[in-house]
Amino acid sequence: MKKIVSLDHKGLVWLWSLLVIVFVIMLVQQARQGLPIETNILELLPEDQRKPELQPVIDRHLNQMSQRLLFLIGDEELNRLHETTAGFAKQLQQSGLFKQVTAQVPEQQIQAFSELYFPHRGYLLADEDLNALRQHKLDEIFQQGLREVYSPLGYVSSATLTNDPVFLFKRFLMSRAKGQEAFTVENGFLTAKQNARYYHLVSTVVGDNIYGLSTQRELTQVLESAKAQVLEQSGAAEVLSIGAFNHAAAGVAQGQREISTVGTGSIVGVILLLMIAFRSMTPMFLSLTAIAVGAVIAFVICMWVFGEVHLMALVLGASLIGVSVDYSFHYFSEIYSDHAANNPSSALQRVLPGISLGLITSVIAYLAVGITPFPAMQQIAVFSAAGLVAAYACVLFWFPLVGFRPQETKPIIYTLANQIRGYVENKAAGGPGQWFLVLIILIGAAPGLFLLHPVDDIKILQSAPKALLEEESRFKSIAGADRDFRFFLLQENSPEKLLQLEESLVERLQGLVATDQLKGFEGLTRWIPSVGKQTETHRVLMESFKNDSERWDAYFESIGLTNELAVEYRQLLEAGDMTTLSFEDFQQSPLFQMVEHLWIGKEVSTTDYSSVISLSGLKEEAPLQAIAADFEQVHYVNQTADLSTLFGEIRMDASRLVVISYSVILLLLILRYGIAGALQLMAPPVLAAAVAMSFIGYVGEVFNLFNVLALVLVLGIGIDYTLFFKEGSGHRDTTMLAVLLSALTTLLAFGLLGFSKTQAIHGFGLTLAVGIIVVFFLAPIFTHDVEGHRVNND
Amino acid sequence: MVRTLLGACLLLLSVIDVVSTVEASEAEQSAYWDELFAKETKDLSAPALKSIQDRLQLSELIHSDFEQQRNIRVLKRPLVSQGHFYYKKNTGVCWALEKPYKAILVIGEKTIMEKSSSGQFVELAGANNAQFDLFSKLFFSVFNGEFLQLGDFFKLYTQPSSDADWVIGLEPKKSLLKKAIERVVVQGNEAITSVTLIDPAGDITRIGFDRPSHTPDKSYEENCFAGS
Repeated sequence: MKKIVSLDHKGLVWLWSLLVIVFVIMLVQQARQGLPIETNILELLPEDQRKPELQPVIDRHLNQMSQRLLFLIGDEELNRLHETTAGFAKQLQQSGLFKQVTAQVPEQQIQAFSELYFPHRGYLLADEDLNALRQHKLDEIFQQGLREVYSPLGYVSSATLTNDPVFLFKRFLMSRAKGQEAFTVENGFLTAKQNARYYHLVSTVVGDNIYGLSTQRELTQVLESAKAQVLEQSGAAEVLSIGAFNHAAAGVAQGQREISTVGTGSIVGVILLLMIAFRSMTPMFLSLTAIAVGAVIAFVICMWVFGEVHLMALVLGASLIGVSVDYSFHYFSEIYSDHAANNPSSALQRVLPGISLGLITSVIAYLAVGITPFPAMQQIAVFSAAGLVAAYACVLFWFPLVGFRPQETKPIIYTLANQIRGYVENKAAGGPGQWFLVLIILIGAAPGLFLLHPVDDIKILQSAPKALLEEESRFKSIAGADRDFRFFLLQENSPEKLLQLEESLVERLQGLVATDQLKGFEGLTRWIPSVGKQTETHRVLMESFKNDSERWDAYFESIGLTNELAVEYRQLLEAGDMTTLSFEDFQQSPLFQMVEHLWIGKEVSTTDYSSVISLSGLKEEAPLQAIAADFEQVHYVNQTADLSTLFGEIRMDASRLVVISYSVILLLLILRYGIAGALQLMAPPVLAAAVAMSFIGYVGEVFNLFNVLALVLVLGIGIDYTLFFKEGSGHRDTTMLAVLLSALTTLLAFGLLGFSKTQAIHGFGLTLAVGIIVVFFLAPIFTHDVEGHRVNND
Repeated sequence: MVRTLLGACLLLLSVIDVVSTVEASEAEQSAYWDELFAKETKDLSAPALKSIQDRLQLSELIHSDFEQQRNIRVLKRPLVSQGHFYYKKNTGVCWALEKPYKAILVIGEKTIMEKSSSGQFVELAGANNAQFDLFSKLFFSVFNGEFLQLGDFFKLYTQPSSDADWVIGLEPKKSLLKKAIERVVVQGNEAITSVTLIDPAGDITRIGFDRPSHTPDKSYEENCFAGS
């Protein structure tokens, strides 16, 4: 093992130093342009392989939706609210961060809506009216007309009665607005009212990817200052918002808090431990250097390989690099055993086999994780493996350059470590004792393993702060509608066919709404019926004019409409210059902008046009899936469920990989130590993994991919411990010191992860903490009397 | 959520005419015209309002017969409807229509409801429906004597009148509303005697109130508000 590298080779030392400098320069340069840190949790997930053609279309829709950010500005006084809302919207607009900010709708635009439909009114009818006409139930329609003209609450004018004497067009417009009564227009603002307070709606579309860190920072600043301005203008004001951005920003804020807590915690812990153990600045300085170099190189390499570094990979990866400090511990502890000689080189020679094997096994374990199709895992694997190799190189090339003379007296922590070692070795080490221990552990752990309940819900990756969820539910209670994240995706080879497809789907959905299985849905055909449907509507109306001519005459007579106008009205609707409203005209109108998110069109890959029907107040999924199954071109999309399924599949894959990587390492050890020796070395980490898993089962925590990943680490770190003992030149006392230091720092780092609010990270930390504690106690026991190849340097 | 914008705009549209093709012409204007417009008008001052409020005997409860006459220029004859009007503070305004058909319409604080033939109330529209919202605000404020509450929507003016009688005119401030309503004129003495809506094309809707009473009427109370 010592032949791996010639330690006196100055050239390698220089080369390494040069390499580190190059990496640091690269990082600094990148940092000046902004570090490519990705925060979108969905980016961590693999592509869903089951719907390869659909995925780009789905992604496009989800992206569009994620960029929408809505605000409600509330106040008691309406006039003051007009001003503050306008100011708020103006500030957002001026920031340049938004593609679209809509607060006040100009009157012309409101007019434009009706001007779009009015010329086509012979082709547009409310569904109830169309059905009544089909069934010759004209009285239902006429009665409503009479009500309108005679009721004190009706509104009638000469213009209305000339253009729309039966109020068919009015009812068409009203039926489009159905279910949206939460808002009125006040001074051009969309206004909702709740508890004697008014709320203006401001809807925006963010211009950039909301998951970019710099966008998030700028956007957060703009929003804070805009909110502050509103509150400054009115003490009674409040600002509520809803949108994916809020979750992204909260996730990042929390991630950053956790990085700094975990980071600070482990650094402070490492410093304290090194100071207590070695009572000198040198080991501390060198160890921190090794960690820092590891982190820098890991970051740069990750950036190369993936083009970005995900926040989550950074959190976990940074902790993993903390493991690299073990090499330093081992090295400095070893110096204790030979302090008279004070020869760093010889100390390195003695620890080299241990840490080299440790590195190899850890890298195997991490890379096994990287084989999963999970981009997050690949990033963590590459990040950790690169970091570990770099830290190892630091120990190898730089540590021997710096002389270090330890104190004559052994530190308290050394005494403590070896008291523990003495105790456990005394109790259980050697012969039947240790195998009895194996039995006890396995029997104790078995029930816990059966108690494990896997939960692969993708939501464990994210944790929204309570305040955010409360704000959202307030928003929804004021605004009424609540959009579900699930939707229908429709595809057809022409816009007209697409609209017709949607109309047949809508008919089925109306059935669900009628039976209360669904609260509502939103589709394009509400605003633009297919030409087919318009033509049919017109045909039905014309037929009624012809076949039920006398009844129409009677109605016009009953309200007293002049004969000329009664004839004129029917002729106008019949005339050839009144035509259908085309989808192209609709697309040109300002109205289209407002429903653009339902239209995906042909822009993404496929040969088909795509559109979306969004849903709200959805209860059971089964009827929706059943409906989708009846149409070849309709897909019911539940991205979260799909991802959760995928997540579960990956957990199974990862579990298999864990078994494989344990096997590979076992094989490696058998080659070197023989079967008995290898089994003894493997026993501590394997048992620790069993105990850690069963602990999760006993305490009722959910079991998911992240627990499996923690097991990989338990193996990687645990094997280090047994190898350090095994290869540790017979100085079991100093090895125990290194192992204790390592276990303490690891616990410090991962124990802190256990406090993470994100369930995934929390479970990861907990599993690892339990595993490390167990392996710490088992390692000295199982390596006590291993006979086999032993490196002897003295 | 996005639909809300469209929805709300369309609801607003429903009170205004899409395309005004019919222009007003002097000759066709009805007999009310002179009475309402010939006299000079001046802005309603605080003392003037106070004096009107003093003359108007405000009450928690008032009901009276009403007759609505709509003079729409494109119709051959006026549209006349009759019934009973019942106002109860903090409860609602009820229109019990007798002719030309029977119907009960109740404007509550939050909803407009119609009593169906089976005796159950059916919601016609939420308070956020622009058309109904405007009418309910108008009637509530008028019968409460709280004209100033309408200040957001209307400019208030008055006209000289005899001792007991008074006139308050309302002119819309906003251009959208102006398209639907030219002005509203409220006439009264110790009670409101009429509310007249004039639209820009010269169509006139006049609701006259007759035989006012402040004594509760059990049958209307039950018909209008029980179970609503």
